[in-house]
Amino acid sequence: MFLVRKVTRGKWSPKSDLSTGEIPADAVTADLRTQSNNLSFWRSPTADDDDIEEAALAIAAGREKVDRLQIVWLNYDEVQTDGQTLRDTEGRTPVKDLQPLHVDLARLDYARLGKVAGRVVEALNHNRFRNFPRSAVRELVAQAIEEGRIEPADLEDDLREDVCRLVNERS
Amino acid sequence: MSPGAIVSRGRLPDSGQVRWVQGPSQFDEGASRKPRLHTLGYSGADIQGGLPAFHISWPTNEGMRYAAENFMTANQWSERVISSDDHTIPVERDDTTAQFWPATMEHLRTVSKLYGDNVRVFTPSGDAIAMTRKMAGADPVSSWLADTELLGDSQLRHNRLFLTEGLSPMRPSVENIRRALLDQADSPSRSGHPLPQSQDRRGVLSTIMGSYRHGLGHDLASATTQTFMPYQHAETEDQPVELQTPSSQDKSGELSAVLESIRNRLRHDLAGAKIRIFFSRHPADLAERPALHELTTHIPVQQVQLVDNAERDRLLAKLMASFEDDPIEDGMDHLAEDIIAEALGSEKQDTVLGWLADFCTDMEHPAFTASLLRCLGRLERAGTDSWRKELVRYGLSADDAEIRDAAVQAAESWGDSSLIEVLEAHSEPEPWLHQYIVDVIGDLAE
Repeated sequence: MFLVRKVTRGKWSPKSDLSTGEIPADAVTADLRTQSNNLSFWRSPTADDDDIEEAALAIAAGREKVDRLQIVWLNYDEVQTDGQTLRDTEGRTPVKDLQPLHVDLARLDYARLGKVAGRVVEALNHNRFRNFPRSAVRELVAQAIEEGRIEPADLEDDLREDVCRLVNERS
Repeated sequence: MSPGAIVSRGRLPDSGQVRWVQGPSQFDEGASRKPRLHTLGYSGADIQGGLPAFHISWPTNEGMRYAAENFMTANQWSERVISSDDHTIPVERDDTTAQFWPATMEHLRTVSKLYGDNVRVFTPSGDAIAMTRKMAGADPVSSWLADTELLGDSQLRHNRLFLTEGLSPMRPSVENIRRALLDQADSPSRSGHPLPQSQDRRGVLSTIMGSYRHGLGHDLASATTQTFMPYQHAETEDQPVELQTPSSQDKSGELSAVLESIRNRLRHDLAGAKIRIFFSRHPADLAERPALHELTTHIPVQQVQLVDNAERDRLLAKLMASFEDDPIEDGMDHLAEDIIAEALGSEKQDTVLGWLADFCTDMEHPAFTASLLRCLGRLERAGTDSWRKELVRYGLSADDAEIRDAAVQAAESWGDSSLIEVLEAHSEPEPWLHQYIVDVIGDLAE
């Protein structure tokens, strides 16, 4: 089992004003922003492309516009050994069948958030990362519409307009 | 090499020599930081057939900072660069087989191995190299670039020396560059003009102007570049531009006064000049924030328009605040988009585009630069083709992968197929970013 979250890959790259191994604070404050001390993830049963793409779809379809998507996936067992609290919650995505895959890392404090950051770095170091260019994101969402998994009206305006253009071209 | 030393290497693309400048570091001695190398300046001797040999040198921003902290004048700087014979690399040049560059780079790579990761080889943009190669009658070097690991030097582009297409909508022609070289060779005094210094030496202000009157004639349709000599104000006929030492209280006002002075002098002569202002801060200020604060402003002179630095600064502050309040997120709208759109909606659209481009060259704040680039990418067809191309090129030359990533994302968002060549010319060391670039090139090509 893996926990998938979007990141901005470049923020986690080595910085000239930090030593090797130090985690950029910008990355933590931008990519690991908590709400009510919770951090949103999507479960993926495996690291296979199909499963990872399902998580990517859940994230992409909930955004405002088509944009590239960079995601990282953490090892579920390792996160648990860090003493994290995992709480299943309904995900905010227009892909209804994916909503149950959402999970929050709950009760995060400074130390536990730091552990999450460490796991993100670890995942990136182990290449548990994928970048979906815009075209791939558009395709993911369009395909979900074509398969009847997404109701276009549930998408944000810009996203719907962009993706439906592609769907209409193909129909 | 001593830890923390600044070692700088530089070269002119048409040079027969590559010289290094070595100096003590005042910037990289942080306990947790690795010694880094900085390019302080570039120097070379022209060896083009038919042209008289001459030496020329110019500092990078890092070099300006170094010079400012050491109270060096332009002449002192030049002497420093040119006299660094101990780091001169002889270069084999073969006009007919175009082996000049590979030989130079091979030598640099060999030397680089001695210093491991601390050495970087800087290069001007691919276009600039190709231009200079054309000047020498050689073939473009695209194939050579493809198999040479080069890191772009972002600083170099601040100090374009007859190399750059810049952010200007117009590109210099090869002929203009050649004429600029000839003129430079004919007028050695111009390259030796001392840096204006205030009595108390509190800071240095230099103006750098287009050289249309220095050999490029008045062919303003194509002459927008200049053999810039940083730390040297342009000497025009018998009336040198008066430069004033900026005060910390009213920098904007003083810069405006200088611009006004230049504008008044040039209004009858020039139709399309560009003015760039470099302002280096007092060493005491540098200590607070160890960075050269550069204000670069592009002004179409014919508009006889005083630059409103306050407005520029306000825009910068608003953008910075917006990113601090709310980091930009892929796929989500951001307040900065509205701020930029509003600024571009004014009558000063060209000026604002210049400001935005300048903000994007702020390598001292990589997170801001990256955020801004990502934001600009969301503006459909912002600026001109060359403006977008230069921004992407500049972003790709950054040390910070976050900026390079943002540059690729901007290119992807703009969807402009003319950006393919910029992406293809870039050699990306990060595998994940390299793959992203490949994907984007594929998408842009469709």
